[in-house]
Amino acid sequence: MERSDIFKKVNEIFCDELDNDDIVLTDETTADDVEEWDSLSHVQLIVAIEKAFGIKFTSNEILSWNNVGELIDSIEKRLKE
Amino acid sequence: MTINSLAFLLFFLPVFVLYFSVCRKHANWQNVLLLIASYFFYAYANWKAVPILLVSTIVTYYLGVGIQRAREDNPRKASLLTNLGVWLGILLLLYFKYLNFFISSFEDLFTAMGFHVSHHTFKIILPVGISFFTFKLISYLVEIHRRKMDAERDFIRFATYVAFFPTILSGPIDRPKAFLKQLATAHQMNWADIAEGCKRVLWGMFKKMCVADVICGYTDAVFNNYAHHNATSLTIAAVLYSFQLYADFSGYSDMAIGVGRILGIRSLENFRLPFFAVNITEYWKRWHMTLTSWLTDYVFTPLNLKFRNLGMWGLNLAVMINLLAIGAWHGANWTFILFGFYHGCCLIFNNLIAKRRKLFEKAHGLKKNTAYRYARIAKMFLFVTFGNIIFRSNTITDFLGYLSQYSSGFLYPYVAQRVTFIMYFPPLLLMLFKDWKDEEKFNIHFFHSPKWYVQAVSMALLLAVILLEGEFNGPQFIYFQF
Amino acid sequence: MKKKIRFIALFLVTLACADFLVGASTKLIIEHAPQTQYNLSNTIQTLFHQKSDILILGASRAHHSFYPRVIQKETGLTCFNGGRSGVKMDYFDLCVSSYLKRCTPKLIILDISSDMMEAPKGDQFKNLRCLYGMCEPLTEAMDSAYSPMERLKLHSGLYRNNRVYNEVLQLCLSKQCPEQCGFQPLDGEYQTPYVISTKPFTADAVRLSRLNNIARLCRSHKVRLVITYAPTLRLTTRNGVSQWLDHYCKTKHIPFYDYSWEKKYYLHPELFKDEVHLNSHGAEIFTYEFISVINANLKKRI
Repeated sequence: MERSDIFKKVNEIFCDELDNDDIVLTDETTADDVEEWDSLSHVQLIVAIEKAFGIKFTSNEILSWNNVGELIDSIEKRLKE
Repeated sequence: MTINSLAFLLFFLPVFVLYFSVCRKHANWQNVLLLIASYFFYAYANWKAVPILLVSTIVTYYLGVGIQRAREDNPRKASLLTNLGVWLGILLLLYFKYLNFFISSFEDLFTAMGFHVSHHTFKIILPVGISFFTFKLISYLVEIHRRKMDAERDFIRFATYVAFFPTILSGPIDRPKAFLKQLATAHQMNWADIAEGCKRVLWGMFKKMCVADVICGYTDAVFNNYAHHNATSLTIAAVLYSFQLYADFSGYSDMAIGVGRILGIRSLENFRLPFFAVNITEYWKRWHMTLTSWLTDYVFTPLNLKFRNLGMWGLNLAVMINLLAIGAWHGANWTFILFGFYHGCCLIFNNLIAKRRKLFEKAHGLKKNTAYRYARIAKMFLFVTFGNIIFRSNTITDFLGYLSQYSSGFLYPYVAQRVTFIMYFPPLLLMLFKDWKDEEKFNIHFFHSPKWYVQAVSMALLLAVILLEGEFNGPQFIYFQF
Repeated sequence: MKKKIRFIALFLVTLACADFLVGASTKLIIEHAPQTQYNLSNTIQTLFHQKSDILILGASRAHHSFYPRVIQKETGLTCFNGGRSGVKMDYFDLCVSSYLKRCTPKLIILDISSDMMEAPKGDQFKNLRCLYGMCEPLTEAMDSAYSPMERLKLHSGLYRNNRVYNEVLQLCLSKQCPEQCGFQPLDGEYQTPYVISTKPFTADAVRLSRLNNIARLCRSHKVRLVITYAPTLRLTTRNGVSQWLDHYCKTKHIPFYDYSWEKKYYLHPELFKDEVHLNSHGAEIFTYEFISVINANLKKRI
């Protein structure tokens, strides 16, 4: 899967889970930039992403992400495995 | 010495002068000065605890370096070192704060089961600020392990971050990355920072001395003697206690942040108008924010991730554990555990009805309705005040006794001295008015007026009010005991 | 730089003006304070104005037990009840000093309770700081009790009136009752019977020296002094305070009248408002009984 496709899919998941169609993600986006993205919804998003891509992250991996870009990188890595 | 004391002023002035004169061009010199001042300040509060602070700082420093070296090539070793550091911090807290509590509680349990147990509780004196600086140390190690930052190689800088005197005793709990970055550059004397810092300190002093310490006369009289008061007095005392707790703790935070600001250092905010939260979830995002965000990042989120496949159950379990931790952090008393449990239940309930409430609001167009919002604020305040009754009670028995006193009925309230009681309200209302104005963003400014003379006069008048109405022999800050 | 200087200057000037205004207004209010029933009013009257023939001093027990109107009616002499709570023997010592500077009363009645003779916990002049500089004996007493730094701070009108401004305001807002002459009658009837305390009493050395000074001042000014232990439901026994006072007064040859063990009072809680204070009815009965003591002492030669 191409990185841009992954990006698009993740963006859709965010809009769905957070109930807001106006969310536009970039590589640098963090939780501070999105109003509905807090500690509670964070895990909801992870679960939805894992389900959508059929992958499983480790806790350490998830906690080490600094922005959406790093999240996408992890998805890419997992998909290649 | 507390920040609102003459002793502190005599301590701070030379630090301030040296910081911005002799040391002004060198970040290292400024940090050395801050470090010496911080250890002096800490020793003044509790010299016996200085070795604990120093040793834990040194151990954490070396662990940090070790974790960074190992995290790329040897993740197992990195995890091991992180766990070691984290557990050392936790054990330190458990020993000083909870050992006697565990001993007494187990003794009570065994006695209730019919066994005779002779115990010996140790003469353990709680080192001041331990709950705050151990959290800083743990957060530092975990952030390195999570690759959010690199280990600080400059020991002086690191030790200054840990012992920083304005915030060591009662927070805010600063995060390492942003704070260490500030310590890496020299700070020049900046009048805007000094003015802003002074304003924060003044406002904090006002809240502590004119609101919290004055109201405490009433709340202590009722809470310490609840069996002799009727439901009206109990309710008034509970409501006043919510305001007292807020004024006391946010007042101290303002003073701590203000002093740091005078030195050109920005600490994290601890309060964001908590009484204007519309539900309990938002309340915890506005109350003691540095503690909540610390626990969210290092307790709640990892737990939540672990339980993520358990759906709503997993989330709520993580919430409850998190709130029990918040409760327990406050101290070794079953009331704090109950307090945490109560808030945990409120949060869980809030999560469960969140979706339905959102639909309800959408259906009735209530999202921007002011009356609805204030009704929710009032409801939230009642729930929080009930929780504060648990928090304030000395024992669970006292809490239950307090509640059972409601059967005495709503009669004429306890008012020892009418004028004294009436005089509780002007400073309290001033504090609430300012918060309300900030929340609703009204264009009324005194300290931040565009006219310099309005600023100068209002600062002088506030100081006059503090001198005239402030309680100078007030009790210790409530959060010093945690 | 100029902006910073003018800012700081305006700040300091405003603070100084506020300080002056508060100090001056408090002084004005105190000097013209009307007579009410409250502590600060009684203090102002005792320290500055009163010249009654009979002066009653003591803690809250005295404040609520002795009816000056009854004494005035029965003896034809003027009488003032200067009792107040929250103070130690040091306060009554300087009351007597300032009173005797103004006039020579015929009789001083000093009702003594245990808390007056104990060492203070914290600042005993806490509620009197607003009077600093206005009354010489009081100012001297505060000067010896406070550090130089504290004395300097007391020159500030704001600091001096810290936390007492409420009391000062209360002076203006309270009902004036000069006819009560300092006395405050209490309502309500107590239900619980008397208690006996076996706690031994020891007088603090400094408080004892103040009491000795009062006795000495009265002797040197030829003023009759009697010490009383007004009716109470909290009785003492063996080495308690009333026993101590009995022994003290015998050695100093001061008439002492102990009403605590009078069955007429301690067996009748309905005469009391609470465990230690008579209500208005009890005070009336007690004062009428006490008239004979007053008359007997007035007849004695000094």
